[in-house]
Amino acid sequence: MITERELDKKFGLEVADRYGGEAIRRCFSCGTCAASCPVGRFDSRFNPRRTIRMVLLGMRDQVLKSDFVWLCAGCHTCSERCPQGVHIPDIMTALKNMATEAGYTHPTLAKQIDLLKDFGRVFEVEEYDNKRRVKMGLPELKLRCEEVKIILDKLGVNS
Amino acid sequence: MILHICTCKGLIDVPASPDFGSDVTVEVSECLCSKEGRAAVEASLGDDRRLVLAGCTPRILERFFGDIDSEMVNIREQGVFLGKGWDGIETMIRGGIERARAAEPVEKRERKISKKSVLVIGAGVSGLESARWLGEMGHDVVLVEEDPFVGGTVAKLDRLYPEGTPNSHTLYPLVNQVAGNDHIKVMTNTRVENVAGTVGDYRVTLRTSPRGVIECVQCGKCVPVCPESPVDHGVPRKAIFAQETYPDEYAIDFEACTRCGKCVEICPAKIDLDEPAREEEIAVGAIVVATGLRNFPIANLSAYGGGKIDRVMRAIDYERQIAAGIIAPEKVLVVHCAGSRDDNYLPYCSRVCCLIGMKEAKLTKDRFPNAEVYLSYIDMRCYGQFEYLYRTLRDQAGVVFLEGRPSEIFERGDRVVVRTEDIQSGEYLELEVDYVVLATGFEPDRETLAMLGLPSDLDFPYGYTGTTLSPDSNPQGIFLAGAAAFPRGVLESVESAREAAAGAHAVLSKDVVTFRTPVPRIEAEVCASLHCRLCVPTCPYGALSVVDEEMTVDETLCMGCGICSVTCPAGANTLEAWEDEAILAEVEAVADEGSIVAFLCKWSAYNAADRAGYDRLDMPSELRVIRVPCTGRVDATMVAGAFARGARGVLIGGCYPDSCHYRHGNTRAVSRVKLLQRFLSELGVDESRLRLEWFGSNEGQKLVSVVREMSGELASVGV
Repeated sequence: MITERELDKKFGLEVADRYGGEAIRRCFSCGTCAASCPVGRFDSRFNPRRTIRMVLLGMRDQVLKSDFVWLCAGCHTCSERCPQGVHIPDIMTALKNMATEAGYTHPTLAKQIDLLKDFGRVFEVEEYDNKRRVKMGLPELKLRCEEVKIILDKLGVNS
Repeated sequence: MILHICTCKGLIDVPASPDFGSDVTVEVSECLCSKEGRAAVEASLGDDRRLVLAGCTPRILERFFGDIDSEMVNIREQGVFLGKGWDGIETMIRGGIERARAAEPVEKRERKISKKSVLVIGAGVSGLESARWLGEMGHDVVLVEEDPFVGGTVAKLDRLYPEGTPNSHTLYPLVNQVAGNDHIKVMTNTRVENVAGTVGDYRVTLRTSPRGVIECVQCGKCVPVCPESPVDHGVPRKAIFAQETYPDEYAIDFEACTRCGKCVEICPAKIDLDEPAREEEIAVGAIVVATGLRNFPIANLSAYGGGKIDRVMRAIDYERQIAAGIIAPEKVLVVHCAGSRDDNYLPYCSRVCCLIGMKEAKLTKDRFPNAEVYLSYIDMRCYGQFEYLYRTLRDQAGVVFLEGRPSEIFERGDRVVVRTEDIQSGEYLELEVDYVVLATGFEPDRETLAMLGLPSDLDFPYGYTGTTLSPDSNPQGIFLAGAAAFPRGVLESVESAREAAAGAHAVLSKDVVTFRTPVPRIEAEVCASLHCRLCVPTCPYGALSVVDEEMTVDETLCMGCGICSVTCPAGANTLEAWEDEAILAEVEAVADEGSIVAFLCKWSAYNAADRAGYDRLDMPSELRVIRVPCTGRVDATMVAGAFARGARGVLIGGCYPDSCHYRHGNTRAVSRVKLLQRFLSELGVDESRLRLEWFGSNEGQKLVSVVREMSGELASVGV
């Protein structure tokens, strides 16, 4: 049980002040976002409706320390369908930023930094991808981008 | 000038012979509201002299003297009750006298009710009910209906909620009462093309399109030979058809008819495929608008397969297909709030769709007891007795309410798949059903409303409330009945149709209607030299318009708020009886060094000051109240005038956000005060000396606190 005293009522206001969080208080919990979410279909820990509810109620630690904010893929299906104009993916980004600021970095983030240093991107581009790009009339991409590693090292960004 | 001072039965001590200058005749009365007092005021009328009535609050004085042109000075509630002695009261009265000197009287306006008949637009259940009552009252009624038959939406429905009775229970007796009344002329296939004129004398152009069937013996031989089968609200019929309402003749649906002529050949009476359309002009004294609602087009809801999947349908089509035996659902989902409460479609709640959706569930279970029915919803809104329908459904085996709005609906083979979250279990759910019913909301009939020039919000009209002729509202000749005003069910539609009939009757039963709402006077030359038209959109009632290049006020629409007057940059627009000069004259007469001048809205803050008086609260003596119709009437010159007289602070008090009597006068005041504060601080005046506050009419204590704060805090601010 969570007692009312444990709730941080400023949490919702803080999220509303972040970029994309403006409309969060308009949410009336219809569940369209949850029903639209391709991530939720595979991992029921991620439920945007429940996340927004928890934010609005002030469950700061329960949200920021959770795994689930990191699961949003940012596909924007939910915000396309939201009847109240809530920018759910932006809210998830805001929550990821707030979690990081509070020191709760998810292990996947460390993995992403490694990927950035290795490839200069958060994903690997292979010969196969370049072949497809050429077929589609797109220029080939460099497979690695060492400069990103130099920048990150200079900035002291480490996994 | 004549000044009547009331002692309010001795509550107010008036000196033996008060002196307000040689041109002011003073009469002291013990009770102005008494028979004798009223007679004394009556006796002093008639020679163009302005009257000042000093006594109790205008709230009471207006009851007896509302029709008399006078300035009222509230020396009881806001005088003695707030602890003022004769000195303070004398100042108040001087304010009233100076105001009366500068103010122009409000013109008394009249409209002759020269035409005694009434037009009812739309012969659905609301129009029929309005026409029935007006006919029974003995008025001549012209009832026009665009379709070939009366009955509107209700005639298309199978059953009506909440009882679930067939539509015939409601409609058939009503149709007979209308069609059997000689006072009522029913015109089908007829549209209103234009409406001109005003209350008491409207000129209406009607256009009657061809029915095709000229004489009919109802033999029905035309139906089997007709090769066309258009779909009417989900159910096919022939292009020549009858409906069991009125008139008792067949009609041709010319949108579907190919003019093959087979019906003409077989008809023993007379069909004319080339019947011409007719136009005629009628004159009526009042109009009842009963044009009903428009279904929200489901083709807009592409994520739900609307318009793409045949098995995804509107409630009305589903209901008719069941009644016609076209479908026999085994598993069906009703989606509530489909496209409603949604910024992308209809932002509002249409109020009746919850009940319509439940009705579809009920009639499905009544006809097919083994059917499974799911209802998905965001919130179920089943007010009043509709809760019993909700409970009846919950009690039925095979009925499942799912909290959660579906995200998408698509086809899989011959089944329809729905994805939703079941919020109550927190699980993602995929359902496969035979049919999906979209319980959509409704849209207003924009065309008719625009033709009548009714002001609207979210495209729905407002300000036309049937019979409520409160003292500040003008006589109206146009009344809204039923769902034309906002989505309504049959029960509420019928009730509002009676209300509209009563409103129309109230107008038609008079020979002349009079009203005394102050309207803005516009100096045509000054206005024409600038021609900015800034005032037009500020009117909450659409009363301002440019006619023949000249700014014109529709006196029957204007409510006298004065918001437009403040907007005019040229000072060419001023509200009669509440002119800048008049208000300023009062300010200059009452404000003095160190005073707090309060411009209080007559609907809220002014009453709060009265409340403070009734409660004998300890109001700082520096307060000087100026009564205004709305905070939206307060102009920069009035505020500047108060400061120029040495006022320490200026308070503007009005109605809370979203509750302005004139819709948005208070929000206008907010932006004006912000600007003024900036202007003041640029002049080196502390901006805290101008304050805007909201008051409920009972918040006397809040008013005292605010004035006390202002007089205390500002004591340290240099004047």
